[in-house]
Amino acid sequence: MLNCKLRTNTLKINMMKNIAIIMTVVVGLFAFAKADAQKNNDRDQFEVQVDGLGCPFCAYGLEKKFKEFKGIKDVKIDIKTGDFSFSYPADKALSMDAMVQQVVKAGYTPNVAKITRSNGKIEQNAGKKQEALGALTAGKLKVYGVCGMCKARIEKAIGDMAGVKTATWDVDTKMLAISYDKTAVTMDAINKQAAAVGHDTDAVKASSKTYNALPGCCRYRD
Amino acid sequence: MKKLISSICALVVLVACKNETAIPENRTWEFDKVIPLDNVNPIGIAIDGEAIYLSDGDNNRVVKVDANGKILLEYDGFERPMHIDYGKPVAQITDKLASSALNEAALFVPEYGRDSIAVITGKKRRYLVLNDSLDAPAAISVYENEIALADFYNHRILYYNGTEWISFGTEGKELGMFYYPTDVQITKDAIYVADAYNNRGQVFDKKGKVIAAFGKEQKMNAATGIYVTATEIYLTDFEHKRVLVFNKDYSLKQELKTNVNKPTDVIVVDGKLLITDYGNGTLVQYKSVPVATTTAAKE
Repeated sequence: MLNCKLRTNTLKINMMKNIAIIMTVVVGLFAFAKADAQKNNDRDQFEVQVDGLGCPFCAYGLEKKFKEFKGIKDVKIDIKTGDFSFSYPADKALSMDAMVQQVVKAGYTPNVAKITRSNGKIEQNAGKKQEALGALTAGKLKVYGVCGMCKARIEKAIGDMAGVKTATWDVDTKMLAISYDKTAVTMDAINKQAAAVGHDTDAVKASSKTYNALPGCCRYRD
Repeated sequence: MKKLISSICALVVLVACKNETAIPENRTWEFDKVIPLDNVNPIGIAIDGEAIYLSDGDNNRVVKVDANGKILLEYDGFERPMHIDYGKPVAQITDKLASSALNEAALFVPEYGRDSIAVITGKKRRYLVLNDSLDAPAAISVYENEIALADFYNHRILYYNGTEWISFGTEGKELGMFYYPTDVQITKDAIYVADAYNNRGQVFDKKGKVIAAFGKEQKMNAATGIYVTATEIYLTDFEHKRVLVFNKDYSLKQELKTNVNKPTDVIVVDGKLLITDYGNGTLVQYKSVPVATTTAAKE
C-alpha cells in the first residue's frame, strides 16, 4: 500500500517536472518567435525578377556582390526562375530605384521588382507604360553581344523605349528584330539606346566605361 | 583489415587516375548515354575509386553518385561549391580552432560564395589554410603534393609546389593574362587553365611562365572547364554547348555536341569520358572507340 502511494507520488512529481519542462520550452519558443518577428519587423524584404541568369558563375557573382552591402541578409537567387531576393535594414530606407540600379550596375536586367516594407507597405516598380502607337514598321539592326544575359539586356533596353512595340534579339545572328512607330522613335535613337547599355551597333559604339562595366560573360569585343 | 584493403585499392585507382590516362591516337570518342540526375545541376566532377562526386552549386551541396547517377550521399551547407578535386596533397587544414597537417586523401571543395576551400574527410569538414585571400575560388586541382586554385575575381592562379605558394596571372587579354579563370588542372609537367571569358585554354610551367594558349580559333564562348590526360586536352564551351578535344600539340581533334547543353566540366576514367551538363542537369557519357568503327569524329 505504502509502495503504491510512493509510486503514485513519484509519478505525480515526474508529471509535474515534465509539465514544467514543456512550459519552459513553449515560453522559450514564444519568446524566440517574438524576437524573430521583432527582428523581421526591422527589415524590408526585396524581390526582383532578373533576366538572363543562364551562367552560374555570373549569377553566383551577383549574389556574392550583393552580400558585400553592410546589413544585407537572406540573399537568395534562383537561376532557373531568375528570382533574386534579400532583406535589408528598414532604417536605411533603400529605395526601389537604388535597388534596381544596383542590379543594373552588376550587369543584370531587372524586370518586376517588389519591396515589402517592414510596416507592411508594398511598393512595385512600374512596367512599361501602355501607349497608343500608330502604324508599326518592322526593322532590323545588328547589335553585338554574346550570351543570354546580353539578350535580356538588349531586349529590355530597346523594348522599353517609347514607340517600340516589340524587340527580339538573336544570339547567333546578332540581329535585333523590332516593330516600332516611326513617328514616335527613330532608328538613330534605337542605335544609341543599345550602345547606352553597352552593346555596339554598326552605327553607334558603346563607350569604354559602359562596355567595361558589363559582366565578364557579356564582353563581345575581341 | 577490410577497410585497409579497400583504402589501398582506392588509392591505387586514384594514383592510376592521376597518372594521366593515355587515349591512343587511333581512338575517338563516341556518344554512349545520358545519365540522369535527381535535381542536381552539376558544375564540377571528381572521382574517388568508383565514387563520383558532383558539386551542385544551385543547391549548395556536393553529392556522391553511382555510375547510374543515383545519389548515395549528400554533403550540404556549402556556399556555391564549384570545380572540386580529390587527392592527398601536402596541406595544412584547420577546423577554425586549430590547424594540422592533412594526413589522408580528401575531397576538396572550393566555395565560391565563402572564399574558402573546404576539405572533406569522412564526416569531417575542415578548411585549407591559406595565407592569401581569395575572391570567388572557382576551382581546385591537387596533384601529388601540389595544389592549384583558380581565383575567379582576382584573375589569377594560386599554385603550391609542395614547398611554397606562388601566384600568377593578372586581368587582361594578352598571353599569360586571365579574364575570369574558372578551372585549373595540374599535370606532371604543366598547369592548364580554362580562361573563361578570354574563351581559351592556357598552359603554364610550374614557375607560372606561360607556355601556350589554345582554343581561340574555335571561337568559344565561355571556356568553363578543363581536363587533361596524357594525350588529350578537353575544354568545355559553355554557351556553344560543346566539348572540344585537343591533341597535346593543341590542334583540334574532335568536337562533342550530342546531348550536351551548357557543359561545365569533364573527367576521363576507364575509357569513358563524363561531361557535367549544367543545362540539362545530367552527366553525359562518351566512350572511347577505334576510329575506323565510328563517325563520331565528324560530329
